[in-house]
Amino acid sequence: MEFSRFLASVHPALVHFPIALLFAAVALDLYALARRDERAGWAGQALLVAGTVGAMFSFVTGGFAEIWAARAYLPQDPMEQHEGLATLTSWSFIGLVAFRSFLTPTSNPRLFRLYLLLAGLGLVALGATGMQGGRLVYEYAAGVQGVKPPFMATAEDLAVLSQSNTPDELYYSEIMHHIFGWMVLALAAWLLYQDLGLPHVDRIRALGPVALTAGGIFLMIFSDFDSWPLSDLKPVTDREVLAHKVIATLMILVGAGASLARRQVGGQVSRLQNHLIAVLALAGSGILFTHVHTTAPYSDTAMGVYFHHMTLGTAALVAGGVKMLDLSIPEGHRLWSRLWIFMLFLISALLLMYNEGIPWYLGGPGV
Amino acid sequence: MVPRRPRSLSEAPAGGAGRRLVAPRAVLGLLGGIGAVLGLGEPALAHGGGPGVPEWQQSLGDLAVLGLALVVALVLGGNALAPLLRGVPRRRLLALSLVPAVLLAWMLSLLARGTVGRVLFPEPPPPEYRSARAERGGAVATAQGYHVELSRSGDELRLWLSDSYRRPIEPAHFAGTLEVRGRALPLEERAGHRFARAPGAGGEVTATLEVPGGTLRIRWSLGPGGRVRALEPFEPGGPPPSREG
Repeated sequence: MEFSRFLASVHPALVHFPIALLFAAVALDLYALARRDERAGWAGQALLVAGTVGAMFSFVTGGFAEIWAARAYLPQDPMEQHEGLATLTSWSFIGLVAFRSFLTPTSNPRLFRLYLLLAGLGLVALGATGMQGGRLVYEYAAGVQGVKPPFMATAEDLAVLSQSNTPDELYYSEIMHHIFGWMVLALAAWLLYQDLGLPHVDRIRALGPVALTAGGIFLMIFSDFDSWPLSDLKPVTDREVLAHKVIATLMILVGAGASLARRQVGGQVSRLQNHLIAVLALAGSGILFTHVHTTAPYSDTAMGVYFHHMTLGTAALVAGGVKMLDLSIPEGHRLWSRLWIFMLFLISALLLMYNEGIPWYLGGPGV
Repeated sequence: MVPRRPRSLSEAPAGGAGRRLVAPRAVLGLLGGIGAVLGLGEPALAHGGGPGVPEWQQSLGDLAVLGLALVVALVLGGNALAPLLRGVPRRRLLALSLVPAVLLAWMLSLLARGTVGRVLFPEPPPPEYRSARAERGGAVATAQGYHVELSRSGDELRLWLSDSYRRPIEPAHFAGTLEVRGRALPLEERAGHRFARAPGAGGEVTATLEVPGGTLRIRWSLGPGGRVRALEPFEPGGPPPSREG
């Protein structure tokens, strides 16, 4: 608990990183476009990545700050407004990092201008987030010690504070994390097998798309236990359910497609795909850092989930960084490849040890 | 000739005539997307996931998360499937893309409806909103947006607090007294509610509850046979109830 309070207290300090770095990044890129300066462009991209990483850590520490502010009976609506803007900002810049990774100021000026326009909108969202954060402190006394807040929690706020997850929900979530932990472990082992050039590697390689298709079928059926086909409590058009089913469909299609494509003579993998994987790792870490516990958002379970996701998100970020290094420093491919596999093993271990509550490495009960 | 160990996971062994495989990267990318999906399972939705209109800032945040994840998944998947479509005639390609295009349009409309649509076109409150329905055999009154139900079980008077949507509030978040025949009895905490022992209580009972936003005062009448009746079921001047109990 004390560690969560510490992380909450660090939030006001960490927010300075995305604010300063992202504004500077866009300014440098603007200069780079105007002067066709590749070095300024490189610096701008580096600051963009650093600022976005800073935004992710700001977000997750903000989650802890929000829990303690809500438990101090601050009204939740203004905090949700701040969080909504922070989500918009974080995800805008995750998308911008991905977009920017394909651009240079000189290669495609038209697309670069589009990127700058979108980045400008991102900065507007960032500014609005900061303004709302300031209001939380100055108008609502969020995190201010020794004073009675001028506005207190409403009936709805107390009802949300009272929420908790059912044992079934917790168990289901844990099981799903563990299952995907096994899948990631299998993936890491599969990659290691190929990297070591062990016998029958061609046949082993074929297992990947099969596993992908199987994973998609599994996700299609079991992604939501309160929705079709396990229950009719939640319709399939619910946006959470829909998102799961979309990805499950995509996994099935791509798994089947990949199995067919590998039989084609001349079926090629583009460098683009490798790049997209790095982008996906970044997006995955972004999701983990900005994951918000919607049911029982102020419970100890939620706090534990934030700890887990911060650890997993950091691992995913490192994995994404390794992939980016593989792209930019291909001479070290063997090292990056092994590091990537190591990170996958680490992530699988974290998933297998996941529990809905305070993690074992912070004194929690563990699995 | 002994084949060299492949330099990268995508390269086939030397005997493969330069054939590269879609499989490893597609698998890597999409399995990486699994983690994204697990996070997508609960995007930054309205806290508590309950009724009520979400803030417009939240809806924009939801849209950013879901939209971007969809774009990444589609680009990754499309890139992986592209080799299958090489050499396919244009007309056939257009026909093939019609079904996914329709599906995508439908999904995007659901996405819009589930995010900004909820803000622009808010749904009416559910039947539980400001409902006088007694859920525990007592009588319900409202005050300052709270529902308070008082019931009688033998010598015990039990009190449940909930919000305007009848979502329960844990007793740890409020405290108070029950005034019975001029005596103020402290409300003790128990799982889900508070209670006071008042043997032989009858007549008017007044609950004084301390909540974070202030103080609530609600009056009931205790009749014969354990009957409880709220004297002022709905606070004067407030919005009308959606449904009587």
